[in-house]
Amino acid sequence: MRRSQLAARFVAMVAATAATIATAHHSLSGQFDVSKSFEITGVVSRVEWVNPHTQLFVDVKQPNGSMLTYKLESLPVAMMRKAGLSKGELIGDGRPVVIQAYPSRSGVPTLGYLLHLKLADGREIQFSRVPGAEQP
Amino acid sequence: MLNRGRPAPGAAAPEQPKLKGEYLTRYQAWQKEARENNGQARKEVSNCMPPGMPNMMGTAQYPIEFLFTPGRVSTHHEAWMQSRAIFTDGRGHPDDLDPAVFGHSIGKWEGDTLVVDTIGIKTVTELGAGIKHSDQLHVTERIHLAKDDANLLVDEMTLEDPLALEVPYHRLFTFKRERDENLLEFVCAENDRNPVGSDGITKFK
Repeated sequence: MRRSQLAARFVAMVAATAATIATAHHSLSGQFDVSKSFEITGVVSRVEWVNPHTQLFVDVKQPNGSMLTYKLESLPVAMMRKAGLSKGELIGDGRPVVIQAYPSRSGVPTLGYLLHLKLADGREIQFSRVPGAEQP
Repeated sequence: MLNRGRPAPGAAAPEQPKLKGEYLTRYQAWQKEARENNGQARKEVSNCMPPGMPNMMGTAQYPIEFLFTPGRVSTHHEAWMQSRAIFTDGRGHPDDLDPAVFGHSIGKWEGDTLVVDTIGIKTVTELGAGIKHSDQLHVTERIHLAKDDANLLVDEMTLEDPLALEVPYHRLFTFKRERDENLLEFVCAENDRNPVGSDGITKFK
């Protein structure tokens, strides 16, 4: 290791850690029903590219012509990057995307946790579950 | 694809801590309660409480930066914006040590390996989800680049606790170098979509 370097930056990669990594700051299964999923097709209107979690806003056209905006929780920024997704790619170009999500336990139908994303260019991304959603 | 933290296919299963006494019974009770509550686990601290030592070395969802300055190695963690000070100026641990969430760390170089000794970790932190430790927890780390890959940093951690652990518990953390990015801020009080109800259950809004 060159000690003359002032800084070396490393991205934490997953490793053989025992037990579980520190619980997420909240429990996924407590807020979302991880036994169900729903699907929507819509246009991503906004992306919150922030820590601790990114968030997608998706406008879905309703049968009566009105627009309903869904709010989907997703991964931390660093994990999105590791998955090869940038904010720009998530915002897309206005073409519809297809999303599968865990529904919120609160009963609000427009809230969910992102599970699967099919981009307009056909690329599909499967999001695995967040540590902390697992039973110990 | 997203990597959840499982070892590579064919790798040995990670070591499990061998807890003892009240630390074992407390953990078993915690596990039982979580199983009976949809995987929701009880916690004694706020959702914004950082993991501290030792789990801060294992937050795979967020990158870590290592900075080397004379007499000290510092770590900056994107997760909860935590940081560690590892004193390499030859000092020992203070006699009148006050426990801290990040403990007190001293390090020395053995060739290209940084050997870090940490004590004084507050008992509010955990060894793993739901696993408590005593004030006697002693953490030793051997931090070095992988022999065959200068872009892989390895932290071999040994945890000893005469009150909580039957035998030393080993954890291994690896980190892939990323040169082109900077840490993003993580201000826990912001972007808070998880209010806690009066029933103590974390919601999502």
